[in-house]
Amino acid sequence: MIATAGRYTIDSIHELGRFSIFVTRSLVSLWGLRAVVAKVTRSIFEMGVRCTPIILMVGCFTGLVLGLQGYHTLSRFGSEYVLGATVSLSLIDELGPVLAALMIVGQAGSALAAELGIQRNSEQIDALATMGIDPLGFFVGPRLIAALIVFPLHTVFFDLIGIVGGYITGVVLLGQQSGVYWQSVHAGVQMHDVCGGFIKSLAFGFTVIAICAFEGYNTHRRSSEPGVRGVSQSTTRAVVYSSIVVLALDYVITTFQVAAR
Amino acid sequence: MSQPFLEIKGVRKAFGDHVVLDGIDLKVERGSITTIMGKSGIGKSVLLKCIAGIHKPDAGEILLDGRKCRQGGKDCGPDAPRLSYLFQQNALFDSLTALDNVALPLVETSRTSQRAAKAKVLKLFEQLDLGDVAQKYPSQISGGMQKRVALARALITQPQLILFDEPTTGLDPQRKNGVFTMVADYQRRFDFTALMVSHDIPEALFVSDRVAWMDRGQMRFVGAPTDLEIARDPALLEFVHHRNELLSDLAGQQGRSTLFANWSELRKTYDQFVVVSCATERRRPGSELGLRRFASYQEAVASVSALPRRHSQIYFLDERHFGLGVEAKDPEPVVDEIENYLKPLNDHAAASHTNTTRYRWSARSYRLSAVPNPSTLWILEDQAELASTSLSS
Repeated sequence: MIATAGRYTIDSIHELGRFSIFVTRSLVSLWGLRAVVAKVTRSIFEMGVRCTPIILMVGCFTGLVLGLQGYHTLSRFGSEYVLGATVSLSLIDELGPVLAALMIVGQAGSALAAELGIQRNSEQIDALATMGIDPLGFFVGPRLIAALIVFPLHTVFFDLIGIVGGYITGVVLLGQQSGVYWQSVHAGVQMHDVCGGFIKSLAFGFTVIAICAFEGYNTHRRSSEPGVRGVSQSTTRAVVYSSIVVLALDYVITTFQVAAR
Repeated sequence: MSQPFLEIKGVRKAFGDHVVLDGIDLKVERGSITTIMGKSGIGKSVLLKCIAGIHKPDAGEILLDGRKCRQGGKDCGPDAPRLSYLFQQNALFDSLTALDNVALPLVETSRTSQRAAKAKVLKLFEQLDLGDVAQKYPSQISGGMQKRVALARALITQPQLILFDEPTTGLDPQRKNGVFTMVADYQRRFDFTALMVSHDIPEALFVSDRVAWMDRGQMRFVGAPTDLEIARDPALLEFVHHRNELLSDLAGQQGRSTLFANWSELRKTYDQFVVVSCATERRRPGSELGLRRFASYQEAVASVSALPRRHSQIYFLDERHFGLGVEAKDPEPVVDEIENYLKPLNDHAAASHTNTTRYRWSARSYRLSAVPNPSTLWILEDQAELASTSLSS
């Protein structure tokens, strides 16, 4: 059992090392790449457009539920006037970055892992290498940069639509005064909350896209079964690992943020 | 002797405990087409990938035009010859049109502008008769056309060496021939050196200057295609004559490889080796192939097997020849006796012949002491057949 635990630990460290090299090489290879801006723009378009509808939908429902739950809980203590602050802080500090990241993982991350897995299996990645084009720079680097732009943007969309969702529940459905809601939002949200959410979205974006790309890119090496099943395994692993990492990172970053206040 | 364009020295590659390449040596001459043959899964593609730099060899050296390559075929120095790779499944990007696929290496690896790259690609498409597919996606064109687009992509950077990884996989016989013709034709027109992996015998041999045969991680044979005829390695013969082996299995007899293995024993046991052969009096293209010939063959074997005298196991040589060892110091009576048994078959064929092919079975005897190996037997048999054809004509 100790031997198994030791082997597992060594394998994990080894894998972490490979992951670090993969990310570093992906970023470094951007220097030699032609038309980087065009490639990053295309990645932003693919990732952003693909995920925007689902981000808006989930953000709206999250805000609606937060407004409903928050109003009833706060009204027990006679504090329903802070509904705006409760909804907005919950979204900006925690739920916005986390849920937006999880939605992007499910939508764009899984697609990226599957795409790279298929390209690996059909030797398209090897073909690039034989043409003298670095596949990491071509496929992964632009997407990592795009993630740094798309994730904060999507988090902002998620937060805004969520706050509007809270407004719909609290003001339109439950009859709170509109001015009270917006005043509470204005008073409750501080700059460090916005910055905290922004930092989280940057960290989540970079990490999950790197994980999804790593899993897809290494489909041939890590899958116990080749072909379609290998791609399916890689995609599943990419989504599971990314989701776990998002929640774990959220805890770590929040701990530092709380300690810094 | 001039310096080989590509030289592989003692290349070794293992995946975990599984050794795939165990000290491969190969020399490829400039401007030649060399074909690597071998059974599936023995590492031919791995060797090509080591040369292309996709896999890094564990040991050994790869020299391209005399330059030592540090990571396979990659990184062979600043002025090293360019190489391209034609993948088994083409590896075309399905989200790009044929034109964009071919332009990709130019756009991404050189200072060529998009417009100049496209103009260059269209010019190449014109040369290769690919103009109609320029704006089509790979999924919208046939397998043969995809292969040509992939070859165009390999050619666009004007490489000096092209590696072909089983270029005819998944194609019908007609398209296979088309691909081999294309390889030979383009090689002459664009003057590159080709290293090809193929299972297609004999088609691949027709276009090759050199043939290498890989087995158990090593090159067991390297030579001209014609040298295969005199090769003695039973495993190589089994591979080269796989079609004959299939027919020998269908006929329930031992094939050429067994004959090679048993030859010494045969020479000790018997005095003569009788080859029963089928001459066709009228041929039409393709009529000598297939079940018609094989049915006749089986009838001939059945007749000879009915001989009420001692004879050894019948050996399948090909669909026109089989052989057997006999104990007889004097060959004449043996041949007469066998031909008597074949007479009803020949009479029947003569009576019922149509406008296609008429068979005539006959026998020839060879003194075993004068035939050191079966390869010599083929040569003697060919000479005898040639002589009889000349006499009859």
